[in-house]
Amino acid sequence: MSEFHDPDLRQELGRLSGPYPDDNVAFAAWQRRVGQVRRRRVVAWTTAAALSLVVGTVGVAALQRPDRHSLVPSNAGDTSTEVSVANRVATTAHEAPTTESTEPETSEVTTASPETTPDTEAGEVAVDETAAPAAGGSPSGSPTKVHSPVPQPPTGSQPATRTFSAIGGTITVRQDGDQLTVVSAKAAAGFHAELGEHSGSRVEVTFTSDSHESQITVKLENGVMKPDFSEKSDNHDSTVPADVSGAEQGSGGKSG
Amino acid sequence: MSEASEVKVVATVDSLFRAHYGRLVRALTLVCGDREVAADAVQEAFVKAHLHWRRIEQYDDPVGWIRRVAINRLHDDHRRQSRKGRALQRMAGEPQVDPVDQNGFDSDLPMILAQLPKQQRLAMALFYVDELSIAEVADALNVSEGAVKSYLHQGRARLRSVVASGEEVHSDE
Repeated sequence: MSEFHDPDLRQELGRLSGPYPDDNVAFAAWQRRVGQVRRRRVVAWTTAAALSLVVGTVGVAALQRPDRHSLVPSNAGDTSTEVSVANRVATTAHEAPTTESTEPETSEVTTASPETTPDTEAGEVAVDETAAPAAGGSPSGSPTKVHSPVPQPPTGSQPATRTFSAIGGTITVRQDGDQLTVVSAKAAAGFHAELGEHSGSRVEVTFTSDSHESQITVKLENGVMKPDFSEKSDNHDSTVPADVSGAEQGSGGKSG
Repeated sequence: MSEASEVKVVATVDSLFRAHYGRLVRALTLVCGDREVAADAVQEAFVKAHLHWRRIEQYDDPVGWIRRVAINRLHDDHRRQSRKGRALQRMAGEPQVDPVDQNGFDSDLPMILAQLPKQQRLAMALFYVDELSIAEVADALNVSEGAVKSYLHQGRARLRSVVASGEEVHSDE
């Protein structure tokens, strides 16, 4: 028995603390409070989830805004940050078959190896638009899109320069309004270049070797440079269509 | 959580509530002198126990946890009321005494009880009303058993004279 056992004191304190509360009433009140707290928690969680969703959506949208890409420095030393944006947009646009006539400043490189070409590197037929004239390197490998077209309408104030490659060589043509100018013509090994017809809206360059002749004709159509390629081989006496890669070079080549 | 386990949890907390709610409310009523305040503190403790039951049921003594939460809540309420009372006391210029419900008592027991230090009151209430052991009281108050015995000894010495005189008065009548 504890030394503090005191039935009288226990009884008096019990009287002072009052009767036992009604369990059922207290239980019902407790259940109501639990329900209230749970409802408040649900509201709080729902609000937090909704806020998180909104913040996440806004964040993703902000990340996907085109002008955010202006912070990314563009390549090729171009100081215009909008070029990189345009390139990215054009990459998506380029997935669908488009023709060059609608994209005067597109940057697309497609390669193909014609069956009649003896030299693999020289046999590449490409349409290569470069913003800088130094981009004269010949593309190689399987048909691959290296650059993306830039869907911008031709502007008369800014000349556009494009490079076209055939088996016999590569030419660089500059468009200044409705004037076309051959900036350079580089013949492949064994070929020599001849400047053909050279009017304002049409230029023609022929690369000739002992057994092969490549002719590149570029003309303006609706203010857009359209190349035509003609490949003639003595062995096969066949022409290489300029539209080697199908829709990629919608201008097509003319046989001759 | 599955429906079966949810039912099981509710049933467990329910049984604890029905077994301990009344005793705890009575004990804390003796401490704070207000049945409503005591009931509110105990209910709040059981609500917390219900919401965190998966963690609390792992404890050795879930009821002890509930009891401590209720006591802490009572302490918080007491501090709030004390600040409020002191402010009112300053305004009215009257002395403040911890309120203990007289409950129809004609003796000095409520007054003497109100004058006891709060820890002594808690120890007396938990030991004599909630019928806890000295070890359980020590656990609830987070003190040693020796301290609880000291509280009980001093509190009982103060209250015993009142109870004895009350018995004498009743016997005389």
